[in-house]
Amino acid sequence: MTALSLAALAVLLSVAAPVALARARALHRAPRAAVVLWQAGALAAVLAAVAAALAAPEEIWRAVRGEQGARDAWLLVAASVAALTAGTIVLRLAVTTLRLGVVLRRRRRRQRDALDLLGAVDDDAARLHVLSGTVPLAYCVPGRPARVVVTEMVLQVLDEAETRAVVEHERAHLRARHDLVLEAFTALHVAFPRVVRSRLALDAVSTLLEMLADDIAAQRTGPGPLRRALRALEPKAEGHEVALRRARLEDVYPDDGPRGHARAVAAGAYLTGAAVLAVPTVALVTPWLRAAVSALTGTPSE
Amino acid sequence: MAMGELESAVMAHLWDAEQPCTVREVHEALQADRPLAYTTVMTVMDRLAKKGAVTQLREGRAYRYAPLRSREQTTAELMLDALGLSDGTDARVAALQHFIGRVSPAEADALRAALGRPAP
Repeated sequence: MTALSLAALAVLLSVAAPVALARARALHRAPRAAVVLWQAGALAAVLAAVAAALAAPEEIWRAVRGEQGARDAWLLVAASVAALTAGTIVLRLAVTTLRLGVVLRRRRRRQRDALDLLGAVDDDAARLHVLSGTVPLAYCVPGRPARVVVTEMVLQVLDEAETRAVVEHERAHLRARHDLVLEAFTALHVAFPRVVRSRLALDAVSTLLEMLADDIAAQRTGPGPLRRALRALEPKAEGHEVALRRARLEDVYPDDGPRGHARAVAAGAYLTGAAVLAVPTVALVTPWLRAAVSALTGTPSE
Repeated sequence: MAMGELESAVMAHLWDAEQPCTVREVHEALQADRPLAYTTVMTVMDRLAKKGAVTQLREGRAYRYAPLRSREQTTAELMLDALGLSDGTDARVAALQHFIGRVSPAEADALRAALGRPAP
């Protein structure tokens, strides 16, 4: 039974929870806490899957020996399916994580090499690379040394304060290693079988990380320049996320009046995250552990 | 002077030059700005050739060097990769982080055109 409950929990956490979390717009008020909540949910889902795969063989063995009676035949099948599926996903996750790590790092090295050839590093210590061309684009390449890249078009469209806000946004990504968070959620996304895969978690976390970097940049340069930069560079057709971020900046940092209830949202998200990790562990894994230990030591379990 | 800066200085000269250059030509041009040993320039250009950034063309007993890709092509390639639009699914899945993450289809086509690739 433990294996089945754990598998059900893993499904709940990886399929139903993302739908609810992605809809919770209130989380945009506290992006840091929201990212932690997403991580707690993902970690709990992976732990539940691992535990299900580990618990199943022992339960199947007991069922086969007839300790639980014939009526549990369907449980046997269900537990086997759950164990196989969970095991497959966990194995895929391990392989994907390794492969993605190699691919990502190779790709960043290629970026850094090309940037080195092009030179055009800004004079100050910022190591800001300026690319020519007509595409407005700003991005960062993590690694040592990390790079911030903007195109000439960005410098043309934005004034000095706005450019600084954009660079601070990119540096916030680099300092807080947001790339590692994104990498983990990308691995998780790819590890799921294609039929049940959904971009919900990856997209939501990616948006939250942008918002978090927006907040850090806004604290350093003030929300004004960043808001103007977002408005100036907002893609016209498909700028959903950028429009959302700009609207949020106006909402979170109003020109007059106090900030919203960000603290309450953050506290709620942290508490939920802790509960998501703790409750399944206590409720499901402890009884199974107790049974396993007593089976090993030969003392009867309660 | 750091190796990376020297490499970009050599590349800048080769990109701006009308035709393939010898090490001596590059050395003379760079020496106008700073004292520099001939052998250093030769080492840097050798490294660039090994990296696949420049190509060596034999001319008599000397080599001439030319960039394999133009400055515009290198830039376009970087941007397509940064936007996750380059070939291969890996690039699309493992996106880099952007301040502004999207370009219009017309802009993406222009970048591809710079690389001599057809629009998908």
